[in-house]
Amino acid sequence: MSYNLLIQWKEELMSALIILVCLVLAFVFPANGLLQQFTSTLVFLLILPILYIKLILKKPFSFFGFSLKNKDVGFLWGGIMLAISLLTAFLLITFTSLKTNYFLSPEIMNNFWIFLVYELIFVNSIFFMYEFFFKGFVLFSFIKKFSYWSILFSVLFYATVSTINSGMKWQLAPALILSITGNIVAYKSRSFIYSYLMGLLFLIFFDAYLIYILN
Amino acid sequence: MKKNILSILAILLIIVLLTPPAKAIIDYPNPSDAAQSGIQAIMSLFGFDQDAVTNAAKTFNVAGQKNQQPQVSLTFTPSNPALGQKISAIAQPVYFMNDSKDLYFTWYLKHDGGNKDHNKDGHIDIEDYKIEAARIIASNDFSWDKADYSTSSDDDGYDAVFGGDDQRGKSEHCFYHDVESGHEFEIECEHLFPSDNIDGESLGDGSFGRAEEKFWHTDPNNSDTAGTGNTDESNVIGLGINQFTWNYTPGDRVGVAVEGISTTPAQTNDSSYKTMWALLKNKCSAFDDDVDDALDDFSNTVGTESGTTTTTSTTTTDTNIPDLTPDPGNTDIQETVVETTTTTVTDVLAFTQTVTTVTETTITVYDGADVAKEGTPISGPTTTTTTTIEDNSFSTSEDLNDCLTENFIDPVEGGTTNKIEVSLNAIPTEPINDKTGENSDQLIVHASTANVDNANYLKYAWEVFEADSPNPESWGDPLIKSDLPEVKQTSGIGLSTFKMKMAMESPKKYLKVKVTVTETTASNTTREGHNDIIVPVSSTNKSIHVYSALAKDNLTLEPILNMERCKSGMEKLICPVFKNEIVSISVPGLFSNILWTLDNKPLGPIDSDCSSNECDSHTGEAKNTTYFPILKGNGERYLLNFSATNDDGEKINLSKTFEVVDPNIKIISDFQFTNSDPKALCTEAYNTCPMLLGYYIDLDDIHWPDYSATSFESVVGKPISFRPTLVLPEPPTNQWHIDDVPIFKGIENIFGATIDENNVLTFTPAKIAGQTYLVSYTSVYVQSRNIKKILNKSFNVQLDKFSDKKLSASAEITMVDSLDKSLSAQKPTPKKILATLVADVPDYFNFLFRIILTVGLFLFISRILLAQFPKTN
Repeated sequence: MSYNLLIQWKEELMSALIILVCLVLAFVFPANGLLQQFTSTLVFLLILPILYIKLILKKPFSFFGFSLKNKDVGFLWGGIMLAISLLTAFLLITFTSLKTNYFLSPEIMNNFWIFLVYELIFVNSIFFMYEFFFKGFVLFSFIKKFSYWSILFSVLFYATVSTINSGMKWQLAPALILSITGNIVAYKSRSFIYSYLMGLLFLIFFDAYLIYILN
Repeated sequence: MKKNILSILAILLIIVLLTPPAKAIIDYPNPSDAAQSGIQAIMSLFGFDQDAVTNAAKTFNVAGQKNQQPQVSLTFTPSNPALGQKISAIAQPVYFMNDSKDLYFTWYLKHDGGNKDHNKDGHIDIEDYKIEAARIIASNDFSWDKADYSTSSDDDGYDAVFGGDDQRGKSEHCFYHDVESGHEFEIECEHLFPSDNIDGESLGDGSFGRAEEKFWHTDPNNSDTAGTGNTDESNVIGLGINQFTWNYTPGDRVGVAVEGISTTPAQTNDSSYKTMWALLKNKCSAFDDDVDDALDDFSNTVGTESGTTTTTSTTTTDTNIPDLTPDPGNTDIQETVVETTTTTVTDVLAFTQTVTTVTETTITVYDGADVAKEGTPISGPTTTTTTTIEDNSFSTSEDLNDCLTENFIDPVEGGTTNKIEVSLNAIPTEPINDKTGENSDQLIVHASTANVDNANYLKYAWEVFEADSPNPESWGDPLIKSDLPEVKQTSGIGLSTFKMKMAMESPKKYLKVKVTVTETTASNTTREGHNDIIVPVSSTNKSIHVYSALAKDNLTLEPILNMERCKSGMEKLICPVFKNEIVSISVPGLFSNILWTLDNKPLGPIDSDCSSNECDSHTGEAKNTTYFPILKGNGERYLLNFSATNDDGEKINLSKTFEVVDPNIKIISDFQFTNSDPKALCTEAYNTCPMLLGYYIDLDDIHWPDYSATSFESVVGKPISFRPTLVLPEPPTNQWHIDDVPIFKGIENIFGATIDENNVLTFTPAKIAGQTYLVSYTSVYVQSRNIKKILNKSFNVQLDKFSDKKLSASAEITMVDSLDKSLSAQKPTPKKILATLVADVPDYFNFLFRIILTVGLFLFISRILLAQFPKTN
């Protein structure tokens, strides 16, 4: 009986193991300098899950949310969650000390082109890796068995890892907002692409608004 | 029979008279001389010195002039009043017989801005000053302008008596004491109470009516408005009022005249003492002329010193005295006349002198031609003349009241001290000067002040002088600020502490630190005080040397002299040491009275028998080399102190701080080894330089180079040297590697590298520009077995507390044709950033290789794990 249960849950168990290994290695694998740290994140949050999906599970990426189906649902929920995210961020900026504790380098704040490069290349690339891992790999690994509870798993995974890695900082606030709203979009649309697009827009708006009020 | 007895007695009398004593008496020319000689004989018999007796008599004669007259002085609280501030003047009368409560204190207050004509007599004078003060005393801030003076329900009069309240019923005798001569002159008795110029009223008459109540601003329904326990009138005249408080305005001057009885009784036939007045400055020029006249008159009349008696004797011989009846049988008649004049001066001290001159004439006529036979006196007339001069008493038309204006005191400038009192305290008392700064004491001199208004607004000006003796003829000019190390400020408000680092280039043996404190008071006057302190200076160029300790098999210790630690850089300031090691410390030179302390506790020898030569085996006295174990945990510090007297007799005091750290190791180039200045730039002369990553720019726009700790550049073909920062005393596994090839001391290797006795690796590079070397050094930190034994035996360190730690460090050396290009680049450029990235490429490939292996491993494991389960749909 228990063996059969094990067989039924083997993919979820193995995925949970891989997720833990990836997260641990992404943060503790010895890396000196930014380049090695970036590489480490790229490998353990993107490449290793991709290889696991293709080589071990031998499943299409669409099983893990890499698809553009459900456009109507995706854009609808993306729009709703974007509005909620922005409202939440606005409230935090207005009523808390977030704006004084959120760091943006002076170069980004004073130069629009550097801001664009920063958002579209650095933020975008890092954000895509996180979206793929948490809202693609983590969420869709458990969605079949846990339904909407998988949203909670994904949020908890992200929050736990971020907090352990960086501590409780206002710098994490936009990402924590997105970990909730983005997972809802991904769950509803069965695609992390919409949550990724929604999240990217949110981050650009968020940073732009902060630069606007700080300047 | 009776006749025979008389004859025998006559013979005996003759015999007695013929004896030498009797003859001596008979030989005297007159009875006065006999009496004088007799007194001298008596004084001699009892050992009296006649001169001393004479001096004592003279002193006794003038003792009356030495009497202390009644006096008064004032103290003020506060001593430096501000405008409008309450100030109290407290009178301290002395040499009065009365209690203070029975004295009359007549206060008077003069404002610089002018007083009012209170008594409406047309001019402002001493009476107005007295009224000003008396109203303040008596009214006690009573709202007199709102009071109804049409009625008065109290009985508050006071009947004053001369000499004070306790002299009631005694006769009055008032005196003025002339300070210069000491004479006291009787004057007409008159109080110095203020005059209110009210018809029919005067103070001290026992009546204090409504008009007086209103004039003095007292409460008509309160017999004691001032609340002193006395009536209003007695308060106005100052009975027992020895304190006067008013609101100060700059320029105020105050005075007080105190009436009472002196300690000298009046020379009258009653119980009275002399009533006298004490003034603040004892000045009374109004009496000067009268006193001088009186003294001159007295001297002229008497013609002799006061209190003396003059006796004149005259003897004349006249052979023809017709008015005498001659002896019929004797034609040779001799007549002797004795005339005595006596002058007596009495009652001098009271200056009511009586001069009496008495002249007596006695005529004695002898019969017989031989005077020596002293014939029988026949008869003679006696006459007496008496002259008396009396009533030469002191008389003056002046009034003591006129003297009061000469006896004012300014509360700020007069009477009380106006100087700021400054005291200095120097720490340490004998500071050590070390021009290198390593063992310099910080001299702290703190100034404490007293008698100031506000200590926060004092201005301090510090000066430092130097000399070779503590009491030179002159200290010369003060040192300028640039000569005083780390002194930021020598003058300023609130600068009560002066701090100076004793790192002077060549100080003399003594410093004098002087401070001048000035204060500008609320009344816009400047007050000053200064003080100085002399500080002996000990100069030294000595320092504490730190070595690793070698433990021999007999468990004795000795320093490893070729392994000196903490010689430069930050380590010289805070010397890193490791837990459970034993450190040797030494101060080279000849010293006596040595005391080592560790954390302010005496540091004893490792072994009580001084087996490691750290103390004298006979006396146990400390030597200039000793040892201490490191038993504290990581991050904790030791403060080691060395006190001793050097061969010049100077006391020196050295200290060093140690910090317990985790053993770690770095490898450094010659540039880093020889330069402790963080601003130093590596030049071509060093062959090998650490990579210049950039600069820190401080607020003064000074560039501080930031060198890489692991990346180096070296010129092609020039020797490369590296050394480890930590040389362990007993290294079991010290090992150099070049490109992962181990290098052994004394064994030829492919790099031609050598390792000297200090573990310095040197080799000449064969690679071309752009190629790199990877140099690494590994070691294991472990205490030797003997050290462990000593720590276990002497310091009870458990054996399981010892642990080994592997240490390693590496450096990547990139070969370049010249160091100039890289060193001349002051700011990072894109090319340099790219170069830095390229320099890290091998490391990155190494990283990639490791990460790919990791990924492959986990994919493989997950594949194996999944394969354990049967396939499902």
